[in-house]
Amino acid sequence: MPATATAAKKATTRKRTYRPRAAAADPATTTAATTKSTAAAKSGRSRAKTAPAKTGPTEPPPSQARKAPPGATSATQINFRADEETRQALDILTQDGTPVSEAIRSAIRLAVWRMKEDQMVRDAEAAMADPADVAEMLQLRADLDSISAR
Amino acid sequence: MSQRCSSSEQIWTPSVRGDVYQIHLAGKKNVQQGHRFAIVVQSSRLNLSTTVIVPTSTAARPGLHRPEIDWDGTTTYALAEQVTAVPTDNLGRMVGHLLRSDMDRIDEALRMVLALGPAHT
Repeated sequence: MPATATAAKKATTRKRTYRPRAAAADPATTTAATTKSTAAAKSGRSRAKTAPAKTGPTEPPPSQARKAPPGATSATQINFRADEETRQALDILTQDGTPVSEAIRSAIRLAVWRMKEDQMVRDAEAAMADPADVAEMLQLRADLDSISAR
Repeated sequence: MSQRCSSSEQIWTPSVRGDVYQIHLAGKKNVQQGHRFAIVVQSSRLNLSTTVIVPTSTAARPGLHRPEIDWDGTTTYALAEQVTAVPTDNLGRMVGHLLRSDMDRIDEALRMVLALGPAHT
């Protein structure tokens, strides 16, 4: 691939990954995002200032999130500093077109799921080591067998 | 858990997901170790001779795969790891229906026990 084409591809990836939407709101946003925000503002294409409503259905602006009625699905905007390793991981997670926010949401849910699985394993081990629980499971098995055999 | 009135009990013959049946234990007094219930987790649209249920226990050790359910002030645990199919005719007496929040926790426990993954990824 020619060098110019490679550079263009990288720029496209970075543009998709780090939209300048959050840059104006939070000084903690990455340097790359801030730089892009400035460049976009100069070219008159700043989404953050001109079109917050075009951020897509999966990423409502903070104003919408605050107005969400109780019980409705709402979004909380969180900024974080992505190091190089995390940026590369995000590129992998979003290379199929998945929005960055959705990729991060899925990753967080999956991490919680893994934690719960680990806790379940510990709970199961504790139950196995508890004679009272083992006896109760045997009794339960007998009860269920009596239902099936009736 | 909510009690269902006795009049509706006669009308709703097919079991509905979330229905709670009191398991009748032949030759045993239920009072001895608390009542044992069966929670229907099978799809309500699946009308078969058997029904998939999650049994409960008041004596089981708590765990993440055993969501806690309050039944008339008594704490009982839905044993998701003991999910099984039983003949529909032998289920016993229906005594109520679980709240949506209780079923959500049972569904989560079933997903963990059966390694189905989180609900939304």
